[in-house]
Amino acid sequence: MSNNSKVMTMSDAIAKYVADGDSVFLPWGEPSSSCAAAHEIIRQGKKDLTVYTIGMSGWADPLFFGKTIKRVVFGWIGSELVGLSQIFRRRIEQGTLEFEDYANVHVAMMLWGGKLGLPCIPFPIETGSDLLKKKGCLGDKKYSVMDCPFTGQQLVLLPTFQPDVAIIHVQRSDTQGNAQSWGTIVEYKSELQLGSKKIIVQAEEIVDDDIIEHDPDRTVCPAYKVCAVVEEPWGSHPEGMYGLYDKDLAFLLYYEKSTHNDDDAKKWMDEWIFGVKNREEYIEHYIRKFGYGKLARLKVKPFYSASVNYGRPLKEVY
Amino acid sequence: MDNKKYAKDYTFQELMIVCAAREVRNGDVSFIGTGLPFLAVALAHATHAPDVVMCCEQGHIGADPLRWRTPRNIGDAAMCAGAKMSTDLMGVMSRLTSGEFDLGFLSGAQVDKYGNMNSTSIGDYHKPKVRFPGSGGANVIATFAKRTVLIFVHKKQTFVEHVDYLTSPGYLSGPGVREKCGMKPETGPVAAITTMGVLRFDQDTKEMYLDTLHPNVELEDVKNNTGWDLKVSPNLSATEPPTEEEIKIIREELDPYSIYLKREEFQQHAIDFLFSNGS
Repeated sequence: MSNNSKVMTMSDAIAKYVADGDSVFLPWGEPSSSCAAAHEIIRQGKKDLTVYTIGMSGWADPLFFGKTIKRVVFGWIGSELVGLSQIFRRRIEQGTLEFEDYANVHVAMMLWGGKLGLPCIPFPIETGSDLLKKKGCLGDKKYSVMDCPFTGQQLVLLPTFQPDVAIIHVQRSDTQGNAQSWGTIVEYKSELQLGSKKIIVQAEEIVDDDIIEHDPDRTVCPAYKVCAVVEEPWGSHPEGMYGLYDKDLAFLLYYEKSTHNDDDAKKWMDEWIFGVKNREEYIEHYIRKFGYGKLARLKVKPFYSASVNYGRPLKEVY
Repeated sequence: MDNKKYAKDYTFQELMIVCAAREVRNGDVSFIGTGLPFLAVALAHATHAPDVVMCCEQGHIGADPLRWRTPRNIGDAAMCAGAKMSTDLMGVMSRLTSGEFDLGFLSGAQVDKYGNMNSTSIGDYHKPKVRFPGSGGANVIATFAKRTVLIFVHKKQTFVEHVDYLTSPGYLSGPGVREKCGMKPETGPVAAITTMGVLRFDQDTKEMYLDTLHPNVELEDVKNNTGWDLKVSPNLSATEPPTEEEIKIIREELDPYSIYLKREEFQQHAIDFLFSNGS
């Protein structure tokens, strides 16, 4: 058992491992968002980040306020069943956000190519729509075409990315960062988080090594890639987390209605981000404002899998 | 089918769900999404298409969310627990690009006569008047699904001569163009279900034409709400109304809390609940 614990507070993790100007991989997060980390990034006034994301749901919208994000490469940014991502859309409408549009799976392929260490990766993309034709911040590096050396067929090539840091949320991790997650998460089964140079893990729970070792199928990132482990119960709120809590749709609706202009958005952020020190205080504030019952009501009921037997070999060979 | 009992009391939204459900064939591997497309596939599943395979871009294959509740988003806990397979976005989208998806539903802010759609922005792309979430999966579904069904509110601002940004390809600028742009034959939009009627695509010109007119809608209304000179089928008929059974299933089984059927009321109710004293 290793004593190489990387457990620290979110405040320390963001201060140490996210620098101004970094490129960051952020997950879709619906469920399993990196919301606790996002709020800390905002609190610490980090700026000029480049975000690579397949897409992001309502939780990520405050990141677009002010100078935190300079550039985003993405497939979809909105808030399902709620409406538009208001701060994000205003930045684009005002012309103050550098952006590049793709479809979700195109960004997935670019991150996957980065994970493989490839400089570019082909993907079957039609050439008739505006998705490739109209270029944003990547300019001519948005895509390229070549003839397939085997079939002669035209191929579209996409650039690949290896972000400086990925921030992921999981159900459980050991102290070194062997992190485990289950349920249908947009990126994890293809391990798109692993293309990043280092990974910050926010976990609902820190568990013994033994728990991880009994179920390695569920590990979505190995400790050697991880720079920080932060225990953060309710860390995905207002998005949900499989097996623990539901998406807080009412809160996301309240957020959306509170962000129709920059002044109101700033007020919301003053209350929920700058007005609290960390995620624990954020949850305490939620309980004070809305009542514990509202939070408790988000908890899901158990729906267990049967446990599986990995098998343990005999020591003697013959 | 002469003994069908048609419903007398239904909304345009419910009629659209029923029309969209009729586009689902038993055994289809289909995207379900959320909102109207979800209710359409779920209605088909509950009636004529029990073997439809319900999938989400997020990574669910063989989902059965109604076992728990009406799913509120594709990452809803109801989509995962009880699904036959849980992969991820690349796991599902690679099934799409390899040609295994039969059906997808798409919507957006604008559509033109060739079924090209815009879900990106209105106005200048670099400094738009309104910015929407972007393609998401739409471009790829429009490219690869064997059949796509478009669901749109029928008004002049939506049914436009030219879309401001072409997010998802329909037939682009006419016959043969999809193929020239790298898309497979036998893919593309097959119908547009609107608040006024059902439109289909001419086999030769690939242009959208009005096939059936919804009850209580005049042909003139449709033409006035379409931004180009809309062609009309020589055999224009009335849209078959929903049956009593279909309306009952939609209201009682598919969306009993009216989260989609009365979306604004539901949203207000959710916020009121959050700020209420009780729990």
